[in-house]
Amino acid sequence: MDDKGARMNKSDETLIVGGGYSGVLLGNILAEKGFRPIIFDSFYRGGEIEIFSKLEVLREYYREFIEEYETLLPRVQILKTTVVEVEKGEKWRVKTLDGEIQEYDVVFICTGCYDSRSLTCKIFGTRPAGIFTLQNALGLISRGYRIGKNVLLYGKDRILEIVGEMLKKQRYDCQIVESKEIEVFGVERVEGIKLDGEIFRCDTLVYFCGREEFNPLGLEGTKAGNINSRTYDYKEVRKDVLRVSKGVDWV
Amino acid sequence: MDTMDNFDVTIIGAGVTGCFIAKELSKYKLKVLVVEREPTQAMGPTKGCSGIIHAFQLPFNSLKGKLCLEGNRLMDEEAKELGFRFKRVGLILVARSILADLIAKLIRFYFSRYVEVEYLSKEEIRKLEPNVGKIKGGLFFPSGGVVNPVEMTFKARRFAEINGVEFRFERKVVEIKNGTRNGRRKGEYEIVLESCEGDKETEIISSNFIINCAGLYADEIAAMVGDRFEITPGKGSHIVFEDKSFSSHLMAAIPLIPERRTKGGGSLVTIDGNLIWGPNLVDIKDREDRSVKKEEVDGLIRKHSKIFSKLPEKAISVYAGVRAIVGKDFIINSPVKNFINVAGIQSPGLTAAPAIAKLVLRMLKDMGLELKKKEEVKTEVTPKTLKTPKTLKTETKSNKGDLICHCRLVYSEEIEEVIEEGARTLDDIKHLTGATMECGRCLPDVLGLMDRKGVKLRKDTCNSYIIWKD
Repeated sequence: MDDKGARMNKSDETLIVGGGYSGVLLGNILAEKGFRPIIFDSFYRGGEIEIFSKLEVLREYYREFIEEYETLLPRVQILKTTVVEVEKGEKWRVKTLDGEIQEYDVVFICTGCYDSRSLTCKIFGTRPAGIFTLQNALGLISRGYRIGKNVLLYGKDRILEIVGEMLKKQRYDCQIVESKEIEVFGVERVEGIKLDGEIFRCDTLVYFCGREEFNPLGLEGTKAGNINSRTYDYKEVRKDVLRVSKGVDWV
Repeated sequence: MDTMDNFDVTIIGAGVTGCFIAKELSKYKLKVLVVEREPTQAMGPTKGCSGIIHAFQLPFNSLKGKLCLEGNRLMDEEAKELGFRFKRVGLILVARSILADLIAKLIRFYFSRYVEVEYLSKEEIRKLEPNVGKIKGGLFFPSGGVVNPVEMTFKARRFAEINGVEFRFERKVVEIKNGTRNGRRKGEYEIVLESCEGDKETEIISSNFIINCAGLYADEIAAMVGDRFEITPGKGSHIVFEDKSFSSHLMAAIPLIPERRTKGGGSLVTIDGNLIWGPNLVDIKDREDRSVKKEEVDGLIRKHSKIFSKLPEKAISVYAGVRAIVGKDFIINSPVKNFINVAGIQSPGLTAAPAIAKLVLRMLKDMGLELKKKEEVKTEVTPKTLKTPKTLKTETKSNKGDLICHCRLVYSEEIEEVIEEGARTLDDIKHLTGATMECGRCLPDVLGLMDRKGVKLRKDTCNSYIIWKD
């Protein structure tokens, strides 16, 4: 990880890409130290903390981080724009989607992560409607959609237990299974899964087997937060932001 | 019954062949209808295929062999006229043994009578494909290419639609009757349609000609007019990799023993540059069986990794399509008056589609259909080109709503646009804009947008609801 490379002067122009929990926390830490970082985000703000805050049970589970985010958000400056390219040089050349090119002394990448896809999670069989990554399932439920009736949560992580609890509260039938691999069956909609020779009937499969760095355009810069920790455990995310902010060389 | 809709030609099935025939007919003064049981075009075998525009198909003297060569030659013109992406990436058949290399050198002369081909040494191949493994040499066919099958079919449908062809989706043909009723005749046939959802309402239309492009169900349609043939469904599974730099050509090993019924798949690329391995061929009983078993994934990796010196990174998804196989060749015939079968369109059906359309037109003319050219044929004013990864980073554009997909930089307005042009399912939007194609993180945003535009939230087929309906 290239996070020793960030050497900063108080006069440095500092850019943080991503205005979720990590970007906003890092922005605040830098601001406290006398810097004036600017944050670019495609939607002004957001990240998944905002999704968690809309979901019962998860709202409680993530309360401390949701409150922290709400407190820190007004203290930083966020602009709605999308960075498409960062080119390393004496100064970092940052290109945004509208074609503008700006120069910064330091660039931090806080773009978070996405849930690994079905084949990575060893899900074989058919691909009918009703298969969701955990992230997408939460995104849809937070928008007020019902994702099914009888949900099978596949994976092994503390977050699945929390989500299971939430689903039960929302009148879903729900069970958690774990295995090395599963096979889905069903033509237009999920009808069930096969796991170690056993059949589990369900109309919806929500899976989680890990997360991956979300940086589709390969932006260069010092990565901080969930892009490194790749987890639903926000204590780890916070730890990573603190670690990166400590690792920066203050000149 | 006097209010019954009357058509000159009715095409059953909006797959790639049905849509290309519709597109060709739309240039003439005719009343044409396309009936499709799914909510949108290309949701059957077309979507499940590999997207390859084949350089050739053996045997050269078969119907599919001839239509493949003709379709391949027509493809540049079609891509330009309709505005879909088409790239001649080239096919390399590699020889992995001295014997295969000898075969390559010999068959080159035979092949060159039909198709452009050159022999490449192993050094020359390594230059084109640095990750290639231990090989002796190979044959290069520059005319091999790739398209996105859904995009190609959608563009043909669009062309047909703006030139007056009517599409009725979510309607299944349940009966074909003789058109004579009470001594009065409107068209040769009456076709009974049933809606796919809800009350299964029926409607009856009248048509002078019927073209059976019903894919996996072409035998059922043919049986309605008393014609019998058997469809043997053959599943083909694929693995898609995230890697866009591993390989840039269509690649396959020259088999020492000819493979059964299929070319045996290969190491392929998509129009977006992703590596794809497949398809295999698995006999199945259920025509809707699009499952990909673990053994198949392992088998595909075992087979195609042999061509290379290392393994590609990150297999991200699998998909399968089902080929509608009828014997060894395409079935394009007229078993009864004013009725044409376009059945058994297995590989290389995608390549052959433009040629099949021209053949069907000639058949219709011979059967007495009057073909009068329209004075004016409309094309899309600005054929849109989808983004390819290479143009992505350098491209700049004005703000077009919210950025929905970060991997392919797709804006909300671009998604709204394809919906207005007729996209009806998530898979439509995925293939036409690229949104949700890569990491899939934007799925909730895309569905939210479809919902706001009043589109039902379905994955591909009639009852593939993504959001639960109680």
